[in-house]
Amino acid sequence: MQLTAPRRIRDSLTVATCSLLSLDAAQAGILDYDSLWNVDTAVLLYSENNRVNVIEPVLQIKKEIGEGEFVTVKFVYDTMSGSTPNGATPSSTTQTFSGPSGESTYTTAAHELPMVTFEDSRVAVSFDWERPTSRSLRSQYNVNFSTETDYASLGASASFSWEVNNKLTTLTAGVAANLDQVSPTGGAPVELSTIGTTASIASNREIESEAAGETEGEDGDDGKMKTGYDLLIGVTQVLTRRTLMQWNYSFGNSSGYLTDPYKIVSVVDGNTGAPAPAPGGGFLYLHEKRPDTRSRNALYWKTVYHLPEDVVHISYRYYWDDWDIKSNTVDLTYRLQLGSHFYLEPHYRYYTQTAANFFTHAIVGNTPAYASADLRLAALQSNTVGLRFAHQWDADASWGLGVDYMHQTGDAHPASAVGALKNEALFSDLKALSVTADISVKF
Amino acid sequence: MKILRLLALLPAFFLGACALEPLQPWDRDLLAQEQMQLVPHPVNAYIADHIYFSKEAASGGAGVGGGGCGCN
Repeated sequence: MQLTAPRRIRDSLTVATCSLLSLDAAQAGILDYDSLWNVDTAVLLYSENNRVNVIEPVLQIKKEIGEGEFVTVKFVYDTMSGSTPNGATPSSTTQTFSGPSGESTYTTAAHELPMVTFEDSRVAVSFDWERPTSRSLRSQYNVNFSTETDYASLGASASFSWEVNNKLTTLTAGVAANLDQVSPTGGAPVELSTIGTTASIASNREIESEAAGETEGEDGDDGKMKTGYDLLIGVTQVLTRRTLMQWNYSFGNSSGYLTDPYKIVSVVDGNTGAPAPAPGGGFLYLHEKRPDTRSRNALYWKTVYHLPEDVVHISYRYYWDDWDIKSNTVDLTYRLQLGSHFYLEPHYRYYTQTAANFFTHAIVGNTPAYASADLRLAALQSNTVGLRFAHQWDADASWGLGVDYMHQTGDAHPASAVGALKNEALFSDLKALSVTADISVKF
Repeated sequence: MKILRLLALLPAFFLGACALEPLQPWDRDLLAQEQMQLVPHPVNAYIADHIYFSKEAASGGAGVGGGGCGCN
């Protein structure tokens, strides 16, 4: 049944994929290898409490093109909208901010966490080629590209898996590189320069362009670059018939423009905690500035264990970087088999991180070399609980529906708060609900 | 640092343990199942990782590659 009726679809997809990948007609023969198409698709609906909403469909097509040789193409489309904290602290008075384009203003009521609205969409495509290099060595190559209004990313990676010890042990090594361009709306502001009036933003951006020796295009796009690489080594061990264990170490380095161009930092009076007045009227805020390099390390451990019917996945990650962020992550998924066609997957994840050494809720006194009030760089904890139900309706088709709830908390009243800021909630909890529906078919 | 030392010792411990229990090809039935893969559902894992990457400062560990984003 599978080999007759769906054949036309297979042929059509063969042609479509070949055209997409600009393969030569002569090369298209490799896709005639008699194997099934694996199509995995999912859509995410993500919603935060009064903040960001995301809709993200993902389509992944995988095909075996030779013995043990696979190609995978993945398409992702994100639409994001809502509001996100701009970095300024809440205040006992109404605050007015210039928008990212510098042409509009928005206000935040007293005692509210200042938020800026945004809307964006993102398209990402990745292409993966996996092949056996020898009887015991497998190699996997990947290129990926994504673009959104103000951001573009190009990446490539290669990883190699070497099976030894009667194929009980797999040694893995991987390397990845990426090149990203940040093109903020209205141009990249001068880091640690003041905002407050439209004029000051415009003049700051001109200064930045001149200082960097850049020529702005007609569309005002003065993109900033950042580059990065990642290295990974790992061991995966079959311990018993029921137990698989993995240990990885990864090192990553990023350099270039690592600042968030839309985040600002409040300047406050060291005694009263009141917003400092700006020279041209209003209050004083600075554009944030992060170091232009970052080195990241992670140790990762994962175990998969098969109970008589059910399967447990448990992982732990210890992360540290040279911004002084240290993090622990524990992730636990339990696959509860309900007969041969259905299963439930309860999921729990605990995450915690320390603050970056330049994180501050507000600047008091002299301007530091680096400063960011991005709450994602603050000390925080996050708990995620989830449940996924899935139905394997036959060997070649399944669907699932999952719900996850994430609750991120931090210190709303840190000891470093001064004056009136002691009475404001400097960290606002993040609560996010995700619903993911997925379908997998082979034909 | 104790945790790091313990993690460093774990591979030696388990490599030693598996040497005691050789696994034959016909014993790999469970390991071949989809639910026994390190990442059973890559698309779902991609979506989850994208959320965590957008909201947290730590990343990496499980693999290399993936895409970038100017996450808000």
